[in-house]
Amino acid sequence: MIDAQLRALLDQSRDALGPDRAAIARVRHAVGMKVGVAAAPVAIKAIAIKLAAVVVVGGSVAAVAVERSHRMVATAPEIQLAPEHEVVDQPTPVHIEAPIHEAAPPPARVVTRVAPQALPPPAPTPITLSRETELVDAATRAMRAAKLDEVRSIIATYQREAAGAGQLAKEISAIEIEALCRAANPDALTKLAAFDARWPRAGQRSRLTAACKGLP
Amino acid sequence: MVSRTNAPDMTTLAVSLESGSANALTFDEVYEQHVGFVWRVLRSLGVEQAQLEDAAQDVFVVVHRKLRDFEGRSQLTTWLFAITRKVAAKHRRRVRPAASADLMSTADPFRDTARAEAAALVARILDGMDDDKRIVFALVELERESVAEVARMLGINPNTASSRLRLAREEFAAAVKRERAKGRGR
Repeated sequence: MIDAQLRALLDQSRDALGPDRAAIARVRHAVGMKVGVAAAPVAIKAIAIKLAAVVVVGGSVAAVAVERSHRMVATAPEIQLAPEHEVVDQPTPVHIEAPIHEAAPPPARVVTRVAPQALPPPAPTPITLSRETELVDAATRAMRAAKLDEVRSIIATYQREAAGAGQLAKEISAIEIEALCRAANPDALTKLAAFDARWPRAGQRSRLTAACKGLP
Repeated sequence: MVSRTNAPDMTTLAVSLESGSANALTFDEVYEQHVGFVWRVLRSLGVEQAQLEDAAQDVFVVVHRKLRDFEGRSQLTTWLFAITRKVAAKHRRRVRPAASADLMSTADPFRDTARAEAAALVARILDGMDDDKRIVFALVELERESVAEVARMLGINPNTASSRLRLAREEFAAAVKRERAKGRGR
């Protein structure tokens, strides 16, 4: 048996021998990109696309209509899966076997009557996973440098850009809670309870327990 | 019973494990609960620090692809280990690193300094062990797997696993003693 002192050494080192939060997020992101490519093939036999946009500005109406139709046969890239006993080499190769045939579309008919006033801003585009990972990485670096104000600022940016739809919400929440705990902010406990309710089996929990143990 | 969801994306792929509990296990849960295990095992199997992310990605791509086939007849960690070992074989370093300096470079000032130093010490010692002893030691002492399960993972006789563990423990204890003596400047 290993003695208690060596046991303590090993227990102390275990977490640090594993990946940090940023690495966990990056690996997850990269896996998501790879398996996203390997998703079930999507066959689109024929698509007619009609787009109509109506813009109402200051009482006047400007109508923009674009009508196009395509006949398209497309199959998403098909991934060659390695046999059961093998593991794919990295990076996962993507073999695109099905050609994409697209008939030349008829010329678009565009009818525009643009109102003289300024158009309202376009609807915000959803945050990308790349951007989320960038923000998680930045928050992690700020945490390492003990720049709590910067951590809070980055988290606010994430929350604004993700608008509740981020895939790395759990990672950023964990960083936020850790930052609050490091600052001895009592709000941390409320957020921790919410975190537990939303992600009851989160892998980050042990880190948060350690970070927040000083709070009453 | 193995059930499949229709959606192939990461968060909804679910597998119902036959053994023990009837809880569905999503890919996300497998990832979160075992990414640390995979990472440390890759390291123990000789993958360089700089390659760990790529290697971990490869492991979890395979996990994602094969999770629906996992029927729970073995422990999940045993199944993960099998995948991890194959991936590690492709990434394994040719030359052992002189020191695990990059562990310290990822040290977080908020982390207990003692923890970071402990990890660097343990990593240095593990790097100095031969492959057979290192992996048994890491699986038992870091991942808290039983010797019987480790023997199953490695496909070796339990007596062989016990013997390697005993030798690894002796080597580890002696190495810690030497390192600490060095630290005290004797």
